[in-house]
Amino acid sequence: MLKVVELGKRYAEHWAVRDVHLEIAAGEAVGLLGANGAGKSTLIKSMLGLVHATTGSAELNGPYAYLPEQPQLPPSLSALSLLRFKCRANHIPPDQASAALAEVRLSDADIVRPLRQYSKGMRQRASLAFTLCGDPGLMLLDEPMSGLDALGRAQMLDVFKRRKERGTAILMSSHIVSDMVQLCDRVLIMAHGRICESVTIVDHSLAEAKALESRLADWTEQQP
Amino acid sequence: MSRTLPLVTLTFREIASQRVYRILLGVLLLVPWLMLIPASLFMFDIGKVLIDLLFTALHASLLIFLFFMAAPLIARDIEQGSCHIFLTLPMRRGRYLSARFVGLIVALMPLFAAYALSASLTLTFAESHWAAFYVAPHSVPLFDYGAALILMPYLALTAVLFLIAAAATGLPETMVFLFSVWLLCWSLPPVLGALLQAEVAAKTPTWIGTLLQTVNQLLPDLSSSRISLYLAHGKKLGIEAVAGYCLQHLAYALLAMMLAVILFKRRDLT
Repeated sequence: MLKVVELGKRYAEHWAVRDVHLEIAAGEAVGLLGANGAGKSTLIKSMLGLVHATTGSAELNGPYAYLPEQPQLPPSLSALSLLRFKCRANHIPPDQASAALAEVRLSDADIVRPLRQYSKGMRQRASLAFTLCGDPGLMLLDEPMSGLDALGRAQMLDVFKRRKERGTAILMSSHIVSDMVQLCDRVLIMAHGRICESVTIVDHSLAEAKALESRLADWTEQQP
Repeated sequence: MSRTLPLVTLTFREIASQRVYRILLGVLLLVPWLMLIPASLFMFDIGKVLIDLLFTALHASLLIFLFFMAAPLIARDIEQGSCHIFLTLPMRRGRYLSARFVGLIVALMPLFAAYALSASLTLTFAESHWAAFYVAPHSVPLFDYGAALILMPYLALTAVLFLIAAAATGLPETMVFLFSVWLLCWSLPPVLGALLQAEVAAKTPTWIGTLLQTVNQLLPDLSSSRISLYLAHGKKLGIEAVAGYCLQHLAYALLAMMLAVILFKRRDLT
């Protein structure tokens, strides 16, 4: 679903992302784990063409969807009208808009309210619904749990697991290790713009999360 | 094309669902009637004064729309990343900008129509009640014609807004540059026009005259002052003058949008 070859992004003399190779198959969930400034968001944006890559290329096969790190949705519109727009633009049956909003647990009363009246968590849910709408084969999620409380995070993880079981490929960036371990099949540790290590998740346990945290700290503290 | 039309519709809805849009719509229905008060003080030629005032209020309304509704929308889109959700539908950057542009122009139309309707009624009222104080004939179609022509520079200015926003770092920068362009293209052309008149030009050194002529040719005239002046005085405009005026502004708009797309395509959307 996704093939990235030698992707790099340089700002002046600084390489934000360097020499990234990556492949994700259908039904696979891959985590991008890194400290702030490691290059996770730049990597995802380079894959999508929002940021022009300096080197390499990314090939996205089939319909995909992107969840930005801090989604800014049009404040005067309702979540329902925004999702209906996506349905019209992408020739998706309109009932999928309501289905996606129900999946992220936004009530019927909330989905017709203007987005400016939403709390941070509700805005995040609306953005997730926008991403989920249309059943994309590949989802690129940049900090998808940002702004959600513990219950919301658990609910969203369930949503992502269900999508994964249905064959959706997922690339999720985060610095919250526990979320990543629960969902992902492998985790790529990023530091200083590079993918330093690929860790296969075996039993999705707390011990694995702790080991990953330790590996992340090691890589982050190393000199670039 | 399939994603362009939904984004045009969404842009219209995004603007029209703002409270400020509804307030502006109400104000535009009211303002022409309020203009009767200052116009009635000029008892020599009420019609001319009223049309002058109505044109001035139209300029102000279009500027309010441009600066306080269109500029924040496109600047926020690019600066804060709202455009990411549209571009990753996926949608080409050029189409995204074009759809936003058309959507904004579509959103402007109900405001313009409301104003034109209310102003036409006001003119009809004034003409029927104060006929004795009219010197030049001032018909409603003449006003509507002038108002439609006044829209043209704002079409070009909206395109200039997109050009600025495509390169600017955010709303403050967009506003400053847009204001500067507006000021320059609004105030300078009438001054240059006056300086280039035969009697003034005869007393101007040749090199200054050439310089003024060059600047006058290069600088877009977005004031539409001549059109307003001619129509307010009941003068007729030749079809060639009108066609040239419209073509000039459409060319500015097209050029600005083309440059905006080129800049926007090259930009990293961080």
